[in-house]
Amino acid sequence: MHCSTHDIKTMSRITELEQRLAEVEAILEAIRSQEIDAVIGYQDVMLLKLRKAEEKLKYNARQQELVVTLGIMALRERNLQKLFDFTTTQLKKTLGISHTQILERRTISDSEELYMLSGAGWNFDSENTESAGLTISSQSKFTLKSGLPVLTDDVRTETRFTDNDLYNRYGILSGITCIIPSTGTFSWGVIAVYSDQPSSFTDYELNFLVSIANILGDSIRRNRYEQVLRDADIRKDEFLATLAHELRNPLAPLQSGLDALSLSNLEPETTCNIVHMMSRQIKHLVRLIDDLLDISRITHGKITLEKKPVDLKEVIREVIQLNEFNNECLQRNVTVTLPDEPLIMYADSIRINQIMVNLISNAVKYTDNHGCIDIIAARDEDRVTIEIKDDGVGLASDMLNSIFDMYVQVDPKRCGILGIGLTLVRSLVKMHDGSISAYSNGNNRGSKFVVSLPLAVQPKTRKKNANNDQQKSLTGQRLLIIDDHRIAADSLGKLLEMLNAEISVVYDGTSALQNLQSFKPTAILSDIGMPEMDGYELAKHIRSLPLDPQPTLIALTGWGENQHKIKIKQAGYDYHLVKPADITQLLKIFLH
Amino acid sequence: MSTVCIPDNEIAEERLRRMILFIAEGEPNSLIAQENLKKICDAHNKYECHIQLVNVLEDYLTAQEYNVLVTPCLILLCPSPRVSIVGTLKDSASVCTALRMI
Repeated sequence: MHCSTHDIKTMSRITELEQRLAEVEAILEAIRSQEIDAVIGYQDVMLLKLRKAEEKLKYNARQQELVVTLGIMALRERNLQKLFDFTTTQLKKTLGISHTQILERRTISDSEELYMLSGAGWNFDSENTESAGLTISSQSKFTLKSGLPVLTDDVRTETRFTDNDLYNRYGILSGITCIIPSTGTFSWGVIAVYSDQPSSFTDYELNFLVSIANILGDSIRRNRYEQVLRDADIRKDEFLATLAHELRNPLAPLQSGLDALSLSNLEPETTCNIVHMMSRQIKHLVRLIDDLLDISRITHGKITLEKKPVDLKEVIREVIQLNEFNNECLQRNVTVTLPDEPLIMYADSIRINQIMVNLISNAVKYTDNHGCIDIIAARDEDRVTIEIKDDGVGLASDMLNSIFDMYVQVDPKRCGILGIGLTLVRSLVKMHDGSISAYSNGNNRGSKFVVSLPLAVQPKTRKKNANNDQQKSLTGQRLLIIDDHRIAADSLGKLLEMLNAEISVVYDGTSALQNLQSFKPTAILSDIGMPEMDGYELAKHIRSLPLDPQPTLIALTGWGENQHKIKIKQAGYDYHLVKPADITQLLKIFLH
Repeated sequence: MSTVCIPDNEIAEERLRRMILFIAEGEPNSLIAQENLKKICDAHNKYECHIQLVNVLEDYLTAQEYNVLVTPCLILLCPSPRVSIVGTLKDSASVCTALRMI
């Protein structure tokens, strides 16, 4: 073969071109596999990192955008599930990764479990915990336990946790998990992002995920608080409606009673029945109002306990024998089991009585006729445990925790239930360093309330008074009654007159002072809030007079706050009673 | 059995590798290429490697002179024929073959 010079040149040119082509192919391949830093041009060098930096900037901007969008959504969105679903979907898209998930921590039978509430990239039921591979040694559980964000570069070399079943099944190689915070140090759950590539994440992504978790945590907290407020608002509205109804209820029989009493030809027995009925209704009203006032005082920390030795056995007996319970208790099988020895507590007897009245009246209200109520008090070392058990309507399990909250009612249809009784009881029990718990096997399976209270350190048997105060008469007592409320003054006068006391009733302070010299009372019962001369001024006047002996001064008023008690005492009163006057208390004062 | 003597200067030329590595200083791929080339030379210490580094960010005219279009790029100047390799030199076996360092 003969080759001309021209041919040789052509072939050489072809070889050179082939070489250049091979070089260009090698360059293209290197560019494709991202192994090139810069391209050299005719005038200068173009750094490829500019493009990378631009991409990185765009990637970061997308993350920032998601943080902002999610922040706004978290403030507005009330449906947390929507927020979670948006988060998992957008995280997957923004980070360009394979899997995301939001897991909630739940305590079940004393063990902590994680439940997937939302996820992207998985193919299992979100509620199926086991499928989520959330075992004790999983990355999510590890994160929950440590409370810190966890970054895994390559699960194949991971040593901090051993269960990588989830990763194996979904081809996951790297990931970040961090806790979703809740109140204080408590964590609500875990948020996780995973990639099917190793080393997909850096500290930048980790910080980004922590920001997302904090936004979710804030939103969860805000939603929870809002829900609590909404529930409280609903309960308050229901309470106000019930209150209006309950306050109105006793008024109708009272009106009927008054109408009946105005008839002149009533049999004495009928009159007695009507008066009993009216008395019951008034007591009911007084208790409703007392409860309301007490709960308000307790809420504002205005109740102070007047502690003295109290025998709990006597309190329970007294409560059971209360007129208002008597009839209802007779229709139910009420068993009271008390120990032989006295149960002496150092407590405020009125408040202990209030606790027992509320608990027993609840048992009565929620147990139908012929139902059983057991009241058991037993000494437990230096404490006493009181169980009030019934087989009535019972409590659903979700009610057991909230039953002591304000305005919560088990069955709003039942009468005489304001939903503050148990709140009051719990507060009073706590004030006595005690505890109260509610138990029930569910609706219509009865309920049990257990109260534990401390006993007095050195129990002393209270000196019993064998005399029945109420059977004594007030013979020899000269009582002056002063009240600008004429009906109240007259009715109290009539009542005390029936107990053989000599009575004088006046309606203002000046008349009282005029009456003083001629009537010479042994005791004076005076209202405080009166026009012209009030009860304080009157008492000061009386105490400044040279009376021998000085009459016993009893303030009878609607004001029961501590500040009033102090002022009343300073004015010179010996006793302070809150209206309406309890005849038993009055008798105790006169007879002692 | 006969012994063929090869002159010392020929042995030296056979084992000499004169190269220029064009890099963009501070850039990740250029840094990786430098590291990889060092590893290759260390692993083949019977060859005498002379490496000239050219930072194209300071001197791109030398790159143009050698028809270098991208960095990192390694050019084997000696022994001929000239060979150029682009990229991070991560595939050490291929690089050694191209550099005729066996």
